[in-house]
Amino acid sequence: MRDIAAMPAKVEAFLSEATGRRAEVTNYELMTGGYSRVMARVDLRWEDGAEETFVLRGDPPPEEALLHTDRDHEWAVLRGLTEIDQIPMPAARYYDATGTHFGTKAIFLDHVTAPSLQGRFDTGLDPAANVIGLADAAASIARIGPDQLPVEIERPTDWDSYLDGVIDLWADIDRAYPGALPIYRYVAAWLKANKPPEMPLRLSHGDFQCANILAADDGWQIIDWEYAHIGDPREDLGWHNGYHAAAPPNCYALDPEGFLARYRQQTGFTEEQVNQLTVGYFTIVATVKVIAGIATALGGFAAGQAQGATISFNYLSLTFSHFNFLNAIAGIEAAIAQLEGA
Amino acid sequence: MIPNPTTDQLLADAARELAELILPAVDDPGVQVAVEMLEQLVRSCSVRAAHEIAWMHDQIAELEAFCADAVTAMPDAEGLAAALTEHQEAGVASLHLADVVAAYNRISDVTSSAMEAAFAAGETELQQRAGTLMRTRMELEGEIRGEFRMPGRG
Repeated sequence: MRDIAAMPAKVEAFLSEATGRRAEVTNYELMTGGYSRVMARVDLRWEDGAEETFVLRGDPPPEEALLHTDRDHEWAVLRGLTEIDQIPMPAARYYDATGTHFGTKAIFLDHVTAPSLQGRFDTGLDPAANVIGLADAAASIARIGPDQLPVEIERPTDWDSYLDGVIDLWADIDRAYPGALPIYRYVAAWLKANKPPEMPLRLSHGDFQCANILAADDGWQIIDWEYAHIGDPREDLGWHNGYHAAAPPNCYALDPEGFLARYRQQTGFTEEQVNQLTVGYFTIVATVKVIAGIATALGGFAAGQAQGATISFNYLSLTFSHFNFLNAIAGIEAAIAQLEGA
Repeated sequence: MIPNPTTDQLLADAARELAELILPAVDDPGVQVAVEMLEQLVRSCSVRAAHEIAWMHDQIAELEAFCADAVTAMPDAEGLAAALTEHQEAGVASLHLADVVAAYNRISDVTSSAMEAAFAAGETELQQRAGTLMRTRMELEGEIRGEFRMPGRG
């Protein structure tokens, strides 16, 4: 996908096979903005003169991959969400499921010309004026139930076993790492001892943060669904909160009660289920799959099996996440102690 | 050896040159991200070079004390006493970094088992001490990390 000279002909050949229509690629350029996938912008003209622009998403070479996710899974999510059309997102269009055309499985999505919401904040957009918009975006995801999604997407049997499975991943990070990471074993033990009220299982984006929202003039579009899964909807709220503690602004933290009131109104969830304490709990829980991916890549670096600043830099990212987890635990413990003393 | 300038001085200056001299001269956005990452990495290595052996040495003693108290409070915790004894018998072979890291990892693993046993047994005092130990570890990581940014995310 990085061979800019060769890719236009490959794209044309794939689209001809996939659609039965001929297209001429008029521009092919690599995109930056994420650490995990290789992405390119593809401008083309179809044989009838219609012009379209796509984003092409594929995998980097294995030795460069920071995080490993499954394109088949991502395509199933994108295809399902495109069909039900209830979440604002770029439509999924085509998929090279074999990797024979591009050397990697690759997904074609509609291209949306817009900066990310994070980019808009960085250039002066007022975060406080967008708290409700973010609550609505999160709620649009949480309203999607398992029955609305393609059967290829794994369905947990029940909430309790699902949460236990996610918590166990924390301890697994330490056990798989070539060195000791006792903070993760502590986090797992604490999470199991302090479970929140049960919730219905719903769609979770898995990386719900402002760099994954395109702020187009005619509305927001949610992108980067590679971590999407069926789980506890509070995972997205927790992830958002934790991520933006590291990459401000944190719109949720600007007005948590306003955010949560709107979210509850839009989803029908109760205050017992969705409140600042449960968001704090899921600020920790939600991070595990990304942390596990980063720790696996960093472990490969430590073992001499991987290289590059993109991977080694994450020893700093991991320590920042430790700061978030332990502060979240301390905050929840203090709040519980205050409630019990009241 | 020429101990002065010290390793941490050399690395801190390398980080400064990356930020002040090299980064402004780079036009490629992908390379800019890599240089920003390298600057933070090299700066953190400067702190590690100055302190990490002493910090791990001090933490080993604190973790050993916690694990010993956990063994006393939970004598039936599976494998805990044996793991602590094995760690103590191995000791810290030398002040070479690899030997200190090995001992630090070994007692950290024993600590993980002790913390899990404390939560499973409802030992609230040990749970609180575990939280304090993890926060100490986190604070040292914060000193190493310094000012932190996620390059290229926007």
